Amino acid sequence: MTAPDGYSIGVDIGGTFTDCLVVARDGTTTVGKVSSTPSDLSVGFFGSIAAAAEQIGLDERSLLSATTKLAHGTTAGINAIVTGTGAKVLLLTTKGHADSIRAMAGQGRVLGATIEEILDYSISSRPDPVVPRERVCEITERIDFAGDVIVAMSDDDIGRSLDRIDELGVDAVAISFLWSFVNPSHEQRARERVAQRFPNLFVSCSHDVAPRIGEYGRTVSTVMNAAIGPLMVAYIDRIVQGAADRGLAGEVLFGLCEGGLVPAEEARRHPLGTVQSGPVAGVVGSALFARAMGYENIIVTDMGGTTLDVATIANGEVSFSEENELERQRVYLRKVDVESIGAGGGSIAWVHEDSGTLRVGPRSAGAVPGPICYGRGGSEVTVTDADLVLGVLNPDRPLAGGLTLDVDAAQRGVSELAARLGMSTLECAAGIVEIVDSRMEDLIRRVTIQRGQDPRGFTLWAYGGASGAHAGLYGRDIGAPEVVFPLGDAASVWSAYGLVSLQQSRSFQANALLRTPFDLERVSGLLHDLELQARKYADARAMRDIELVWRGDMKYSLQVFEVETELPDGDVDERWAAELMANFQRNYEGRFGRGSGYAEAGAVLTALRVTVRSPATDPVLRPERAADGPPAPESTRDVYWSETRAAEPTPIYWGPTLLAGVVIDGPAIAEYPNTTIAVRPGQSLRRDDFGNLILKLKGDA
Amino acid sequence: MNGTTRSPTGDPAAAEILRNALMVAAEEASIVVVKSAYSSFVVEGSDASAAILDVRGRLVAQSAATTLAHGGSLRASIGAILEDHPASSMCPGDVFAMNDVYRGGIHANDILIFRPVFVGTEVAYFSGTLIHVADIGGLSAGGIAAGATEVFLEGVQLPPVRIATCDGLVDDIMRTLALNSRAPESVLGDVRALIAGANVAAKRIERLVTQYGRAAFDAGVDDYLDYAESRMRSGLAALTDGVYRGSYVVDDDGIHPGLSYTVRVTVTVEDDHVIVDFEGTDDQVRASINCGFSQAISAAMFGVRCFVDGTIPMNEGCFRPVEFRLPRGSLVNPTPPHAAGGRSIVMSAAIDAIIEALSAAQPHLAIAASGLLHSYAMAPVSSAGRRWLQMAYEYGGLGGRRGSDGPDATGIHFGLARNTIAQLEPIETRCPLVIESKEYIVDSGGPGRWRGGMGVRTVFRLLDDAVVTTRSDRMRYPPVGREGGSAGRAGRYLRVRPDGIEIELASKTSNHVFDRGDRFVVETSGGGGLGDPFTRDPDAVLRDLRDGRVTRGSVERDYRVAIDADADSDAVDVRATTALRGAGLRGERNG
Repeated sequence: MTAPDGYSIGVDIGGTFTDCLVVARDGTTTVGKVSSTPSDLSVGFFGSIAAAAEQIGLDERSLLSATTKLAHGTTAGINAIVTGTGAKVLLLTTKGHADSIRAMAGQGRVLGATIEEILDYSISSRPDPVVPRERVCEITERIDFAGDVIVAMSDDDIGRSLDRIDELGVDAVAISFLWSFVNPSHEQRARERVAQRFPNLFVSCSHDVAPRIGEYGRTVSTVMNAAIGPLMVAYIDRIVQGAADRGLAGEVLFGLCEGGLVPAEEARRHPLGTVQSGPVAGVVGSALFARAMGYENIIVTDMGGTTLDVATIANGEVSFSEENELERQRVYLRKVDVESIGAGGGSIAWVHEDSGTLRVGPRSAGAVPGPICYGRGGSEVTVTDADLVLGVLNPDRPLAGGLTLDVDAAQRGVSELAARLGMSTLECAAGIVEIVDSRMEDLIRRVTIQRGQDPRGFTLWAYGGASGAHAGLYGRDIGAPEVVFPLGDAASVWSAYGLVSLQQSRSFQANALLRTPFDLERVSGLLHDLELQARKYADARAMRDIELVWRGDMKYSLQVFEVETELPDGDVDERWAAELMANFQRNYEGRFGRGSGYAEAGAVLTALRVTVRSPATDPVLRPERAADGPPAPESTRDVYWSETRAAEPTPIYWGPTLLAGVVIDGPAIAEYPNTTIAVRPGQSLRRDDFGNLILKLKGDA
Repeated sequence: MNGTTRSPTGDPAAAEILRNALMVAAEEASIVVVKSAYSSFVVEGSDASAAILDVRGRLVAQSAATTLAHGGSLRASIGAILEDHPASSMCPGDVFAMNDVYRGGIHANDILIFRPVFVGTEVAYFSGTLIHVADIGGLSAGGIAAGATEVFLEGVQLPPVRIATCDGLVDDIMRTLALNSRAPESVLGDVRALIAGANVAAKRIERLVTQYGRAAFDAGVDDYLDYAESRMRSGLAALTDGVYRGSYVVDDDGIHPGLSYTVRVTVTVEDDHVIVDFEGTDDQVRASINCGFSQAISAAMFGVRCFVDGTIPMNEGCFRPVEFRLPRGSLVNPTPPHAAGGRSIVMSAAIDAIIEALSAAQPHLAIAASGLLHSYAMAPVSSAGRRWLQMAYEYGGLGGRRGSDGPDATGIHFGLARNTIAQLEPIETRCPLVIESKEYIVDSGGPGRWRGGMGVRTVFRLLDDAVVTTRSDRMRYPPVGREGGSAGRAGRYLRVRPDGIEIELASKTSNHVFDRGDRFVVETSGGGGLGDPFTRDPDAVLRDLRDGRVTRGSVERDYRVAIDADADSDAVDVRATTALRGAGLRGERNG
């Protein structure tokens, strides 16, 4: 059987499942879901494609030979960073500054630490540095902030460090000198020396990986890139070769945490950029999809087994940060803003003995041993157990993987906890859910306040396995009018959907410290150079119909926080500068609130950036068949609702039978193969014409 | 909408939710201040504090970024605000400011802002915010007036004043602040940021009170304070009853060379409460090291909290089982017009004295003496030319802790400060400096079974003439070891001339003139060791050697570990180590 041309495929590898989404030219979607294969992730990768092919009625080769785009979000890099299984790296750095990665700009004690680690004197400590001191070689050399060489580089020191590479048997080299992003000549020469003697060694330079002011963050980023380099190169080659062997018509593209796709050679060079590409793709896909549906301002929430991820999209745009925390280290990595807390279906409920209060998390039972009701050896009550006890989850319907939930075991667990607190079992289960949901509400509010936004003007967007049961509660108190579950049950593979929707893109950046009034000639020159780089990249990749997106990072002279600002079109003249300042002031106040900026102090342009990309294509929205009558519940079961503090007989709907236009009023439950949606008392659930489920949180005003 | 959320009283889940909400309200205020503040000292250090208080003056909650120093000042100052401006005289939109050290403030540069939260027509709660503003006058730019002999030399004093009303900022006050500052734009920006933060928290509390209903919310707050109290009491009950003493000798006061001072503390542990008594502490001095009473209380609270569960929420309940006795007119409770801008020295002294005392009450949580916060400021000689200011601090190493080494160069000792240090490159863009190195000082951590944390050395080369002001301690008397551990290395400030001549600066120096080409060296003190270093795991000693924390000489002399250098990679020579350590009787080691 031959397949019609033009499939696009997204593959997202998660901790538990590998998700594949195939999108046909007409917008039809097909899901392939298999267990992830940690020992060789590529097995699950191709397994999920085969599973989707089978659903369509094709063999794997026929599908791939008709596939023009295969987009992949990999976790291979982040896994190696988290588990410390990356390559053994040697760091070359400026003499006098070997301890920069140990002193961590003083942040070590608090960056990424839990509140307990911050507050408790007896356990407070720094994480180990990204490279132990014995694998740091100091090189006599120094460049100043203007880029002038004030101490020449010692070739002898370089020679000695090459000997250390041999002695210590390292697998990769990171080179990070002070001010290299202004003048990279020393790093370049050091890299040449390394390459001459060790042509096959993976080498990262800081001016290349993280061209940004701040030696600690730049060095950490460079070291992490080097640490995951060798294994990522091998992994990427395996995927690319495997896809070619299976007849892929197009090419494999890799997702970046800045929200675009790059070909294999780019991903090999800067593997750090692929970190968190799956969750980011979900956010970017949401932005595209929301825009097509007419939503401008949304808060994206992805609640899974162990974490809740939150991102905001304002005026249709995602926001970025240039600095992020990874494993308690600061990294310079342009990344779509996604914040996480450790709260999900697997979060463990416990009693704080001193105070006799109920707590939830931050520990999670994860997938193994998992909640008590999974019967895989979990013995601690989790949020999922509470959902089951409350009747929100259906004890008689096995999960997607065929797992049956043990409601009796969950009951026993919760009632034991309840007895210690002097509560009824149902009250205790409801309390667990309310605590976890209030923490999520707090995170959502914090994320929006940090960006100077008011959550009440936003629509909540929810995907991920556990969102359906909880969004009605965590959405309610932030004052959002409604929750959208995009494409209904497909929300459970939303990151794969996001990957399909991404386009090739790559950013080029020039760092500067340009104060107002700007040196317009200099700006013009920098922009010209950036444009040349971008066009050269696009030509080499044969990218068609490219667009160039111009941005700058700006801040007020006396303040520290930078805001990304759109650069005006046209010639760089006085008008251009005035428009730039206006854009900046608008963005700054939008982010930090009115009156927060201090224009009289003047502004600084710290970076100029161009992103070259293929234009995004709007997602195809396929109108669905409308329902011809009111929906019929499949059954009834008792569900405890904290609003009425009682278990009530509640209608249960089988999701796939709900057609476009249908509205069900709460209290009710809608069950899908991969998710369960709780429609709380006073709320209602509607299926729109495109397969989205919309939970209305408030009654009509 | 009134009272739609169920009452937290007697409901373990609802109580937990309200507790989170209170903390988050303070956290949000802190975020807003940091985002819009101007002083780079504040922003890069994330040093903005925020708290929720009630109309009775009780501390209800504070943000995680709030140091105890700041939280204690917010708590102490709300009383002064209410004294001068009774709640009944307050109007919606009012915002109050103060910095008076004798009534709860810290020193001039730490400005406190309070905004009442109205429920109906009545004031029920307050939000409070605090940062170190860039400059508010006084002897020295940036607020480190190490040479101040009276409070009048430390910047503008603010009694509790109304700084905003429903009509907006009170221009008279803002203009007064601006006129008295070397960096007027920054100070006004900082004050606006503080007010913005207080507004956000106040609005959040208003919404929460509406959501819960006044009575249920108030009851929930009472429960929260009781909860902290009960956890505090159960922690204190675990300490062995008794009377414990500790002391700390301050190197000098920055004015009278050679004179040192002692902070003495007696901690009496009785059942589930403690009395912290500073009787015997030296009298206040005509220098800046005196420590306002709110800061002494904060220090004492921090010291005590090191010996109970550190995660107990910080609110009024924590204070109930702790009694503070601060002799009036002493270093820990100065009277007008004694200067107090250098209070960090006596605060640290008080903390270390209490830790010394309670390490005996709770040996399994013992901590050796710690290195300090070493502050300094560099500025142009004349204010006519290019304006720049590098005001910062470097951290000392902490004392060894039972079961773990002291953390290297970190700020926790300063009332749980989470302050960060700026990276070096941005400093070089702002100031005529080349930072030649920033390195851990080898052998600076006091030897012990659990080694003291490392001190750090930073070398600045000046590209222009400059004046340098310093403020620190632990330069004459290094942090001592405990239970057989040795002292850490004392800190130093040096001026190194191009010809190599070294001039050692006092720990508290005002406006020492440096020439272009000179180097300014800041060395922080290392923490003291805990326990006999001969009992330290030889592999840990080897690791320290590889990490450049100790020299080979120290390995043999201080730890009596033999390294087998002939092996493929260096390894511990177990037999030789045993022999060395067997011979190492205590008397011999000391001899």
